[in-house]
Amino acid sequence: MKILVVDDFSTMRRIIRNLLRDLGFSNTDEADDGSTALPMLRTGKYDFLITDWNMPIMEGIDLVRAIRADADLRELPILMVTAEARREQIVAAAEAGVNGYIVKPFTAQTLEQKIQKIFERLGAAA
Amino acid sequence: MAQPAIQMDSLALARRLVDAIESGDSNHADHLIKALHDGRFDALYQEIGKLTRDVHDTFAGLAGDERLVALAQRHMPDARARLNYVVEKTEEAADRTLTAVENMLPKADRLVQEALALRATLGATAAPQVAGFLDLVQADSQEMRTSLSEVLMAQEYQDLTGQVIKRTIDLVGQVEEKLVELVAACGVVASGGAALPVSTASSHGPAVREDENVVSRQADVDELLANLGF
Repeated sequence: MKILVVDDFSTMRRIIRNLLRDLGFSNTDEADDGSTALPMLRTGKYDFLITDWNMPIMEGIDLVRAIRADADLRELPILMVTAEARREQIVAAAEAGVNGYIVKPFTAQTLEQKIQKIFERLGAAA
Repeated sequence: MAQPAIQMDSLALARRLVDAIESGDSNHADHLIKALHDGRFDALYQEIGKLTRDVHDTFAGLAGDERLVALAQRHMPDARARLNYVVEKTEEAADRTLTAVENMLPKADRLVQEALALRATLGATAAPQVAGFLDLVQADSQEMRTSLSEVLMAQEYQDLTGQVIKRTIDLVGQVEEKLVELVAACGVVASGGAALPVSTASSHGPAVREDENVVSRQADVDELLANLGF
């Protein structure tokens, strides 16, 4: 399981990667916005993406849309972890094709639950 | 002819107008209508003239007001620099804390593992004091690990406060830009004051105030997503 963590704040990238390591996912990489994440996703064979929304250059929502429009990447499971908490944003993220949505501040438990839930649903659908 | 119509009040003019119409004196009536009309516009022009002088005086006063220039050229850039400093310092502190936590977590893990392994190796042959000590090491290391994870999660504040402060820096930049324009319009030579682009991002940053359109808990997000079929 190879996971890419995308957030413009290095503190948050480190926190998420540490939490993932605790959950048994030690094969993780990081990117600081959508424009650096997209080329990594295209060449890196990632199995899962965790992305923030509010980032410079290319925002998370645009990254999600780009992934869903890409023939090779469209099946990639995406978990959005963001401080953006407006109802219309959550609806927009769902419409863009995220598999889960976590609002900051969050807990380690929430992260674990949402990742599990995404895999359960993907497993049930497969 | 009567006294200058302009100086009479509107009501008196109107009464005279009614009298003139009733008595069939159309020349006088026309004259009174013109006087009523002119009187109103004269008052309007006088008001506009007064406002123009006020605006001119205010601008002249602003041009000589060094506080405005100082605000635009020194205090606003200074405020942005201070806020940037807060973002930098909190990021540094969070990074140092994370480095320390990342250094300690594997050590706490190793203590738990080693204590468990030694306990298993010694088995029933372990002296009670040694067995007790190994149990203590295992339990305390486990608790240390939990607390370290809590310290790790707490560093999340840097992302949230950082986003709020960065938005405030943008706002200060925009106000500064307008002040620089105002100073320039007042005829004071203003230099500097880098223009900041107005944010058109689709994001709003962390919710710092209560707003019914903002969900405050993960449970609300889950409920909303469940309604959307997630």
